[in-house]
Amino acid sequence: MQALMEAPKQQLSKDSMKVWIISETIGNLIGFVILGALFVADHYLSWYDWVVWILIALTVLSVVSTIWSFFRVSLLYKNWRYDVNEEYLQLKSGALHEQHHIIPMTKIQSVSTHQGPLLKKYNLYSLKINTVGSDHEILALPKQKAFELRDRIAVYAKVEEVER
Amino acid sequence: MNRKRNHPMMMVYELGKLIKNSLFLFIFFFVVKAGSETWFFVYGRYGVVVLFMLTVLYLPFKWYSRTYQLDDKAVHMASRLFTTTQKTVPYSKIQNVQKELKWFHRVFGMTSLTLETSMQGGESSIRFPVLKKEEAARIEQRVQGKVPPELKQQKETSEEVDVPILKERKKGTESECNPIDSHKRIHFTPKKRELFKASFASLSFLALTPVIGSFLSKLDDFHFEKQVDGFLSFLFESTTVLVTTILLFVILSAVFGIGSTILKYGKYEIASDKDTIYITKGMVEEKYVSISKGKVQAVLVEQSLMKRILGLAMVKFVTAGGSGEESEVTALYPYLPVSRASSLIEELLADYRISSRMNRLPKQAAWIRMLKPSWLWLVSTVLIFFVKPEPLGISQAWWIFSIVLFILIMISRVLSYYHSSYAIHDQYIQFRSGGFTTSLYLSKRSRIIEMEASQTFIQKKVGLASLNIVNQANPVRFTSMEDLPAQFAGEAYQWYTGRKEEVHLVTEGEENHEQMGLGVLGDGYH
Repeated sequence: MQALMEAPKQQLSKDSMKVWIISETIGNLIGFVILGALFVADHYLSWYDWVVWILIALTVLSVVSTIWSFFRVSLLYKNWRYDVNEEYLQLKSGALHEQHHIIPMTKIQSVSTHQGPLLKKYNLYSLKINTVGSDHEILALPKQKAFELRDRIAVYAKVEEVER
Repeated sequence: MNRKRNHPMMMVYELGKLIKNSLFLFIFFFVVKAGSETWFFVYGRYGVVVLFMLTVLYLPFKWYSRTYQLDDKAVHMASRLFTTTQKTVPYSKIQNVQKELKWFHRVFGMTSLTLETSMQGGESSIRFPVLKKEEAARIEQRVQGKVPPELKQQKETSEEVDVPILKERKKGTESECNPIDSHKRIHFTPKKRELFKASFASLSFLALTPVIGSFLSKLDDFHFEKQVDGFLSFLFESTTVLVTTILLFVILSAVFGIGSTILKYGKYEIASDKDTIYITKGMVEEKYVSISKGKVQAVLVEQSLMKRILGLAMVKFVTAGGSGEESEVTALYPYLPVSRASSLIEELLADYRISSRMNRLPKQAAWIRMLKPSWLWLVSTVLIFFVKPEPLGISQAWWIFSIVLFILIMISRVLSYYHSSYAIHDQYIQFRSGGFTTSLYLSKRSRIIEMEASQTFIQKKVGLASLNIVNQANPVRFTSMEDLPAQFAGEAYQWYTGRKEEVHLVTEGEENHEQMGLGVLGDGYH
C-alpha cells in the first residue's frame, strides 16, 4: 500500500512521548490505587469468594497493559505522520492497525488549537480539525508549528479565525 | 415584494387536526370517566372544553401571523405573534421539495409543501401545511432556480450577479438559473406484472395472518373462548372444511397482499427534466418529492434475498436533506426489475455511469472472513447456554440453536465473499457488498468528502486493506469496503487526489454565504 501512496512525512513533536508517558503513568497509578482499595475492601468486608479472583485477573491485565502502554507510546510516535498542502490534509497513524486519512481542504469546517496542563508543561498544542461529519486531531505540536499550521489550514479552508 | 400567507383553508385543516388529536381527551373525560365525581374530572371537563375553544380561537391568529416571501436567492419565513421569528434559507441550501396530499388536500384541491434543508437539529425543514397547487408549483420552481416566466423578464433587467454560494463548484454546469423550458419525461410507472411481483417480494400477503391471529385472541379477551374453540374444533373435524378454509385463507391473503401493494405502489411515477427528478406515489394520499440532480451524493442499489430471487432491486439516492432515519436516502420505486434499475440510474443522472465489469475480492479475503471470530455467535451462544430455553419441550434446543446460527453466519460470510466486488472507472467508484441482502454503492469522486484507507495487522500480512468513504448526507454517510487488495487501496487513494479534475476552487475575495444570507435578509424586509 505504501508504495503507491505518497505517505505524509511530517512528525509530531518528540516531546509528545514524554507527555504521553506522564499521562499513561498517572492513569495507571490511579488504576492501581483503585485496585488496591478494592483489595483492602474485599479483605475487610469479606465479599464473595469469586470477587478476589476477578480482582487478581484485573491486576494481571493492568500490569500487562501498563507494560504495553510504554511500548505503545513509542509506536504511536514513530507511526504518526501528517501533511498539509493546498488541496489536502493527510493523516497517517497506527502500527498494527494502520490508518490513512485524506481530507480535501474545502471540506474542512473549522480548525482549532487546544492545550491541557501536560501539553502546557512542554509548550505543546494539539490541533483539532472538524469536517462536516468527523473530527480529526493532530496530537502534539510545538506552539509555533501548531499556530502556523492552524493558520495555514484556515487559509486553505478559508475559515475565518478569531485570534485571542 | 409582499409577504404571503398559507391559503386560508389552513385554518380548516388545522381545526381538523385539532379535533382528531383532542378526540381522545374528549372521549376520556366525557365518556370513559363520565360517571366520575372526583374533582380532577369534574373540573377537568371544563378545562378540556376551555382549552379546546382557546386553541380554536388561536388558529386564525396562527394563520395570519405566519408569512413567507421569496426573492432571488432565498426564502424568508416569519411568524409574528407574541414573539417574532424570522428565518431565511438560501435556495442553494434546499435539498429537496416535498408535497403531501392528504384526504383534506385532495378534497379541496390543495397541497402541502415541505422544503428540506441539510441543517442539523429540529427545524431543518420549512413546512407550508396548506397551499394552492399553483402557488406550491411556483415556490418549487423558484427554489429550484427555475424562474417562472412572468418573473423572468424582471430578472433579466435587474443586474446579474453570479453569487459564489458554494465554495466548490462543478465545472461546466449552469443549472442554477435555468428557465422551465426543459420538458418533463416520465421514466417509470409500474405495470401490472411488476405490481404482482412486488406484492410477492414485499411478502405483504403474510400480513393477513397476524391480523387474523390478533382478532381471534381479541375475541378470547372478550369472552368468546367457547365460540372460538368451537369454531376451531369445527374446522378440524372434517378435511373438506379444513382444506376449504385454508384455500379461502390463501386466496384472501393473496387478495389482501396484492390490494395493499396496489394501494401503496400502484400509482407511482418517476419523471425528470434537465435538472430535477420527480417522484410521485400513493393512490389515496399522494406523496411527491423533487430533487435537484446536482444534490445526489451517491446511488445505492439494494436487493434482499427475496428480491434477488424475483429479479427485483431497490434504487436509492443519497442526498443531504431531511431529518430522522431513512430520510437521508430517497428511494425510487423499491421493486424495480434489475435490468431496468441500472438503465434508469443513467437516464435520471446523466453524469453517472454504472460499470458491469467489477473485480472480485482476492482469495485471502475469503479466509479472513471465514476465520474471523463472530461476536454475535459467541455472545448469543453464551447467553443461550445460561438461559437454556426449552421451546416445544426440546431440552437440547440451546445447542441446536447455536449450530443453526453458526451455519447461517457462515453462509452469510460465504455469500458476502461472492457478492463483494469493486471497481473504479473514470471518475466513478463502485462497491458491492452484503451477504443475504446486497447493496451496490456508486459515487463520483467529486462527491466524496473524505477517504480513509486502513490495514489491520492480519490484513497487512496477506496484502489486504479496507477503504472507508464518506459522502455528505445528514450529516454524513460512511461506506466501507473490507479486504480489498492493498494495491487497489493505494490506487483508490491516488484516484481520489485526481478529483481536482472535476472540481475547481473558488478563490478568495468573495464573501462567505452566511454574510450573504444576512444581506438578503436585510433587503427582504425593507
